[in-house]
Amino acid sequence: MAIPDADIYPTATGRALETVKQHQNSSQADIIFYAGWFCPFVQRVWIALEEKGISYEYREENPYHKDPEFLKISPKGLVPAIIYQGQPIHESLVILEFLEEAFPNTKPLLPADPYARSQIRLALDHISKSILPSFFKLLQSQDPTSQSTARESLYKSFSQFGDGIKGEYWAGNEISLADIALMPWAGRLYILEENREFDIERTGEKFKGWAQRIIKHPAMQNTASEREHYAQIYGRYLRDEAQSEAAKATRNGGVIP
Amino acid sequence: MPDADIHPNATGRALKVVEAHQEPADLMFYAGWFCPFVQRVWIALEEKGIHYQYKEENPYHKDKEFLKVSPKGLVPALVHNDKPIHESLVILEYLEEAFPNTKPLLPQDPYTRSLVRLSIDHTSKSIIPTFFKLLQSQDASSQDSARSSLYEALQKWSDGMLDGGKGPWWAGEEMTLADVVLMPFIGRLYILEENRAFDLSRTNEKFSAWVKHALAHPSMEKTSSERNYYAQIYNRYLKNEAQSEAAKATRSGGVIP
Repeated sequence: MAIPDADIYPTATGRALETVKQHQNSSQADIIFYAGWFCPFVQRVWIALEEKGISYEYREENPYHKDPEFLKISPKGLVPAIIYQGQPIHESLVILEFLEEAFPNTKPLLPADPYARSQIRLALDHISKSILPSFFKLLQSQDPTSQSTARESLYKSFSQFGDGIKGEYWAGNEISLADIALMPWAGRLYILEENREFDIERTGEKFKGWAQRIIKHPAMQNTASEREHYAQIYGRYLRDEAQSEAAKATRNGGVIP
Repeated sequence: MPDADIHPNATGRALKVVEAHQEPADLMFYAGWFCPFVQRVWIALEEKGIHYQYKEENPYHKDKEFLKVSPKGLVPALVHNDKPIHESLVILEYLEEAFPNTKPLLPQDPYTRSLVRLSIDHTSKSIIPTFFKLLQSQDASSQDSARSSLYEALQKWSDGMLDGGKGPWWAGEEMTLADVVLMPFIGRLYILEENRAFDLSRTNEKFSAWVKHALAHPSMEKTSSERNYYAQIYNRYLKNEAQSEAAKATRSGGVIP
């Protein structure tokens, strides 16, 4: 069944396209990176690869096509996925932990101390369990009451994330997975501002400051495409017609894969 | 509420272990004797031989002092060298990193570690929500649907077993977190067998063999209380009256915390 979501603009644009073009040489690459230019979960891994300076080959993979060859790499057909030394890994958070362990001589995105690492992982847990479900609910809800409930939950969960911020970045002076796991959604807040009456002032000074700083981060800007191209996709979420796994899970009250 | 009125302590084999862990230690383990998420951490502490003090904490009481340790008032939680951590999966990763001279529950190799984490992700996203759905569903049609999904999710779990699936553990010779996170729920399969027509033979041989081996494993038996005491709690789930965060999330179609 052909779904409109399969008919997305086929490539990155703007600054992201420049980055894509710089990562087309497979002979040099340690990682093959299967990406959807528009996907926030992909952007997490993309930002990490850029921050760590890992050499990668960028391959555009439309997750709505469910290409049989790609299903061998990523069984649910989801992006992001990577191949390292011939072996595939999927799931953005699993990939992020893997990059820390497989590339120890690159910029670390987790501190060395086990307790500090546990606090960052708690932030990741909060993002997955509280922030993202509310974000998608607000995006996709059609009636004002549901939107209001989701919006208030989102303010609260952003504010809680803000409470934990210890410096310029979530964990202090250095960027970590706690920032990276949420950055792509900070970059998509404008959709909620323009369409769902999202008011960043309601998230508290700490979160607001973090969000405004983080979207200017070089790795964020280098992996972001032109806004007009995102509109085609997010229009479908706003009308609750989107067919991504995240959208379907939000509609059905299930788990976001 | 009735959930707050549970039998106040572990019984049977588990009681002996509790009694052996009442001396002050660097690590204070806040536990509910009946909770499967607690049992994950308990099994890990026992496997790794970590010195801990066991403190029974009724999560339904939401004790003010405990909320400082675990902000959502949930067990398991621990305080290690005066620093608090909650969330079972975060605690399990912390124990691996903070106690490197104990038996490792993650393999050394980054790629194999990522496969273990993918298995944990599958357990969290596919097995556990379906387990609770089957437990709490009231009408035959919802139960049938949840039961089928559970068989499928458990088969998929065993399809992912490493080392050709020869066992006895998920990753092969050695126990890992892939086993630990699922074992407590396997220890509660009898509830679904007795009340929800769950039939283990509808999974597959590999999975059944793993179940048999896991249930007989010392750290599983040592952290399990007498079955009649679990009944008071699980009857509330079977009638869909339970008030745990997991039960409420399952009812409302939300995320299990």
